[in-house]
Amino acid sequence: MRDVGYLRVGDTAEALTAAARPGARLIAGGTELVNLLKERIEQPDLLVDISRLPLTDITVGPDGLHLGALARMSDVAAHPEVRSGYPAIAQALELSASPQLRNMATMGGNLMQRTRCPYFRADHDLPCNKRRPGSGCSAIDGDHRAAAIFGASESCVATHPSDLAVALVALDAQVRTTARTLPARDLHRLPGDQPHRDTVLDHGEMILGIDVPVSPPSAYLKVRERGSYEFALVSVAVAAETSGGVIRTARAALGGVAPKPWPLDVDLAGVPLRRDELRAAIAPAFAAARPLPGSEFKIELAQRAVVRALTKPIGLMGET
Amino acid sequence: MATSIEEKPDFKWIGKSIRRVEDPRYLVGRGGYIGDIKLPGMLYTAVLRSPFAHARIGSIDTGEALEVPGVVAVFTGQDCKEKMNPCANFGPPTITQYPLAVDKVRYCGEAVVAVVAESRYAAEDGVEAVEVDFEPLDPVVDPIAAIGPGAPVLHEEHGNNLAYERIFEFGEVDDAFREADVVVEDKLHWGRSSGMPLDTCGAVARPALNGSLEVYCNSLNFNFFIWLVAAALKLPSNKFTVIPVPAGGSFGSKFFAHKVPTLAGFLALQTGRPVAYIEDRLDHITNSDHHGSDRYYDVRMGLKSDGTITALDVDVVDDYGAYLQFGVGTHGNSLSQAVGPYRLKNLRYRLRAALTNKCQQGAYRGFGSEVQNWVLERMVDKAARQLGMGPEEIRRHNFIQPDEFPYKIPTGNIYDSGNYPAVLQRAIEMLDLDKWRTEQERARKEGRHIGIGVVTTQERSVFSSTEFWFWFDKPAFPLTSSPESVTLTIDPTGEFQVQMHSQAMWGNSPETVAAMLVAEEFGVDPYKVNVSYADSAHSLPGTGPGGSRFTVMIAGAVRGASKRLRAKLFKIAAHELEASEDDLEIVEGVVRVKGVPDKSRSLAELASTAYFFALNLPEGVESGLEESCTYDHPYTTLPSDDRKDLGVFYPFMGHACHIAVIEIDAETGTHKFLDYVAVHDAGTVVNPKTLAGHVTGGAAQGIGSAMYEELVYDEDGQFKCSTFMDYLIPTAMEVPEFKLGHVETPSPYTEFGIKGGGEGGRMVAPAAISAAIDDALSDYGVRITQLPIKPSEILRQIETGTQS
Amino acid sequence: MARITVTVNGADHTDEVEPRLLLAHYLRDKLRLTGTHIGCDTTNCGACTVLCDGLPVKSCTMFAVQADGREIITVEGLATGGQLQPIQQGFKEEHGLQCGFCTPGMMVAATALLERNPDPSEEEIRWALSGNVCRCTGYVNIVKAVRWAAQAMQEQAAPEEPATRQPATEQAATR
Repeated sequence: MRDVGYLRVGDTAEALTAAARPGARLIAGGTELVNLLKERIEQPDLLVDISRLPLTDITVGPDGLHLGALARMSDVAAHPEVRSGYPAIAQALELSASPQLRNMATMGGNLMQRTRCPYFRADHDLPCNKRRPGSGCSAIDGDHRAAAIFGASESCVATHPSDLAVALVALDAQVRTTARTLPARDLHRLPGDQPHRDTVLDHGEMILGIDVPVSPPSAYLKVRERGSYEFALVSVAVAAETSGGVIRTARAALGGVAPKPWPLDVDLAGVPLRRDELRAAIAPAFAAARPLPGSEFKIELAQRAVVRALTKPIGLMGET
Repeated sequence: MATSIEEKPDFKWIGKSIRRVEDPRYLVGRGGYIGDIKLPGMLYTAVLRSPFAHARIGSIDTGEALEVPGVVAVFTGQDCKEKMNPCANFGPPTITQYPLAVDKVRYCGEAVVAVVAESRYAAEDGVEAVEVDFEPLDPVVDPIAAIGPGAPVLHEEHGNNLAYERIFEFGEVDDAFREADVVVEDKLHWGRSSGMPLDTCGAVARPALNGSLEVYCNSLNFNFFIWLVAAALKLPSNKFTVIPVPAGGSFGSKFFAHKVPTLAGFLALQTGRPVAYIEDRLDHITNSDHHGSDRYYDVRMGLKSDGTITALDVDVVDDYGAYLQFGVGTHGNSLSQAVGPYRLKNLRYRLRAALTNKCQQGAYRGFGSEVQNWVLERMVDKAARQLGMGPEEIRRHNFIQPDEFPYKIPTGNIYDSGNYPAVLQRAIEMLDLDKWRTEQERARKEGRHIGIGVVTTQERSVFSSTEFWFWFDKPAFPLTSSPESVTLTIDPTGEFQVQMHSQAMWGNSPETVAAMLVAEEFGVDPYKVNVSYADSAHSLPGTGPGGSRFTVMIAGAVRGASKRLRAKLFKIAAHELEASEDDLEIVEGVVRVKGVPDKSRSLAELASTAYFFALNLPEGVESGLEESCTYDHPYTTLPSDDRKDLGVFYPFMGHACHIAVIEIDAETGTHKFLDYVAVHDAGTVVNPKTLAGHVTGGAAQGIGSAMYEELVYDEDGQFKCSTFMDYLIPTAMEVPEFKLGHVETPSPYTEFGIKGGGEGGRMVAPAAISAAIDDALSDYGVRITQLPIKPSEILRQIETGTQS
Repeated sequence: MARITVTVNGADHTDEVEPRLLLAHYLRDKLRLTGTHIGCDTTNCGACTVLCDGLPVKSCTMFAVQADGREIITVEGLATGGQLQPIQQGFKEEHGLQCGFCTPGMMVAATALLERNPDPSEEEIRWALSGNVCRCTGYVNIVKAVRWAAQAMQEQAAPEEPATRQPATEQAATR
């Protein structure tokens, strides 16, 4: 890891000035950035430490849930009103990373995670358009079991790793930055021919907080090979109102299947909470799936996950 | 029947679950691992690793690196080739290795350049500044293709990628298959996993007096072959001393891990300063020389219609990676228990060792025998299903019976003792198999998929190096010694010191074992015995841990040294007490005349005499109280000339039955353990608590190899598992609570009847898990034929009804 | 270089450090507190776990500069008054360690768990330790060790005056 400059800022204005410098990178919990530095995937000149800024609020009001960008994952996951009113968020956080990391990592940092594609993370510089624009994509012809089935391009098939982001999309959250407020579903971008850009944020732009409207009952289901501390093969967040075994309104988003949290854009209103009917209702959304040979299993797995998330209670440790 | 606890000799300490004597220092953060060592003036090393699977090394520009602040020196493979000999090697002499690659790189992660600097950070800065021109070559990744026509050759001097081939045949295999009523066949693949201890390999080398070199090192077994490392460094063996350092786990991966101390030694000799080379995780996972078995099998098993197994035909290609440091020893382990616990007479074993562009194999808990266990059990299960027999039924039918021991298997190895039906029965009772079968049926009606896997496997222990004979008609390096030594001292105040030779603590309980045995012999408090480890300049013959040999061998050595020390104590005491030596006994650290407890001398009194009052000693007795014993392997023989009999090389045969109860979620392919019973027979148990620790820890690693861990190379030979985010080690969430049981059939050949048990549950768990998953998904015709078992593969089989 | 002041096991340390210096290396190399081990370098194994302001964090994934002004507790700071803490005793009683390399991180993580939840279930213990890899034990005895400590802490008499933090000696730990 190369040496790097370090500046701890005392307020947002100072942060913005520092972050605008070329080669500057914001650091909060550091759980992602320190690894990117160690692996030499990123080599910034200056770390702007925003961890002491007063952006750690977790407030629940009549208009919904407000999370400061620097609220810790563990604090949000443990918050009683998040657990009761926004369980998909609590579950997505609780099922992310490990206890120690949740004690360090923040809301904003979680959203700014970068892909776990093994070629992007390789210990040496392999062709990867996300890591080195124009170098090519090793995953398309290589190991791509974890690859996207939606939204990939010829230059990148990587998926986004954040669990939280998937829950936020299903819960129709907004992300507030120093420059704008935007829907969570628009924060991350598809790779197109610029896969090195994960989000729509500009250099120096900083997430300030997340606003989640009052949510119908929600849940987050994560399917992975190891029962703890692993990224999702597929995941699904659902927020649904039902009555008499029939969906009144529902929103869902998928994780592990696309370069960004993938909204499940189908109208589920009026669909009975039964497997066959649900499968028929969500099937159109999967017609657009374009898997690679190794990632084809995700199409079926994701649909099963959606049905299960809508029909079975999910415990806080992911048990169904 | 198995010897019950009641029938055992009346041991005071053996068989007691005492707390470990090693623990206190670890509880307060004073483990003293290799990374904790800091010598004055010490330099640090970082290596540049190959980004290619296969490439020619062109020019290397180290100029810029030498300008980096803190960098002291930079070395390449060419420097190694010019100034040292190749690394220690028990494989073909045409396959040579240096600690830094020479001319060619042969796998992703192979070390190419070493940068030595004032700090590890500076060394890494230096590595970044080195420029290497690589000329990529076609990678050799598939082991079957590697040994086929037209494959690029890894080692030009060797000529092709077939490092070894041999067919062993025992009995009348073709006849047996002709006469078989049923023949089952399968293709199986055991994937590549590794011990992956949390503490990597490391060494700190220091130029010392008289042109000698001292190396602190957490490698094991160094004493046995230390002269080979000295030879690589072109040092006389008496100028090269290894000081053992505790290892934070090995599981095979530090088994004679010679490359790290060789490199550290080379760098210290070149710079004239102390140099540390401690692998980081990436170094270890890519370049450790200790990946585990990676085998592709074509197997056939012949049976009679009543379920009697009559023949086994094994054709295996083993993907050894780029070098062959230990030859094909992992298959010697397979051959030691090739027929498992079954009365099977006819065996063919064809081995082809393939060279590919991957990190080479070393040792991993089981050393290849665990793979044979899995293969054999897979085939027994397949046959049972075909014959409509239950898993326990077919096993009982084929078990070697308790009255048949010692039992010679077709390969020539001896099984010393055992009671396989009793182990199986104990496991069935502990699990309540009937209850689970009922529950399984009930759940099936609800659409749930519960499976029960019952397997019975061998757990060979205490290897003898005679096994190195049989691979070749004229072995280049035959040896027949594999001893272990102990030095036992009573100091002038009567306190005990035990010195062990050839290793340091690495996660088992050598100090507890030694202290308990000394306590048993002398009636003293085991917690008052101090244990230390000799360096290689002061060590007696020793082989080191491996193949579950240490407890048996140390017990033999402690017993031998104790006998000698007791004889001397009795001689002195008899002289002082004016009694006959034959009338003396030691009770709770006091030597006394039998029947006359008042006529006694404490050990402190006798020690005082022995050290300070030579004129009170009997005629011919020297001052001091120290005795050593070198304990040779108690039962080993050479192979026959025609290799129809491989001799006795692994005779103390442990046994185990595991029953896993697993529920599979057929929608996601994920699983959970509902119950798990493990019953082992490791002969006389010294410390049930620590043996249980090995069974449990080994089973957890078995779960890893079966379901999570795989060292993956892609089609270009790129390594895909460079961190623990990709190489998935089970966490506390993945390992169930185990119900453990022991059946003790003492070995007739070892001191106290102990057999080894250190490799524990990893010998068994993969087979039990595979069987349980098959059973859970029998409605879908699922059969596990490759490890690790990924949920995506389970889903694929459910979906398509086809096996891989 | 940056100047930092960190409280480690109750003592303040002020040092000039490179911003890239990891907290784990600061503790091990600068302060010579080598009980905090490094097992994976990539935030996965938990061997490097220390308490930062009372919460378990991975010191290999935190720069020393980020710890400026924080209070760090390492394994060397667990014992108080020269005596082993219940969690340390629990590991000894229940054979919760074999090679000992993961043990400091495990004990530190478990300490934080017990502080927050004095009577954790087996499931809660496993979940709390799911960021700590042990390669030797298969975890079963580690879970038992934490239960042992929980019970011992509950059985302890009325709370005493907090003792000063001072490392337990190996002698105190014997037996």
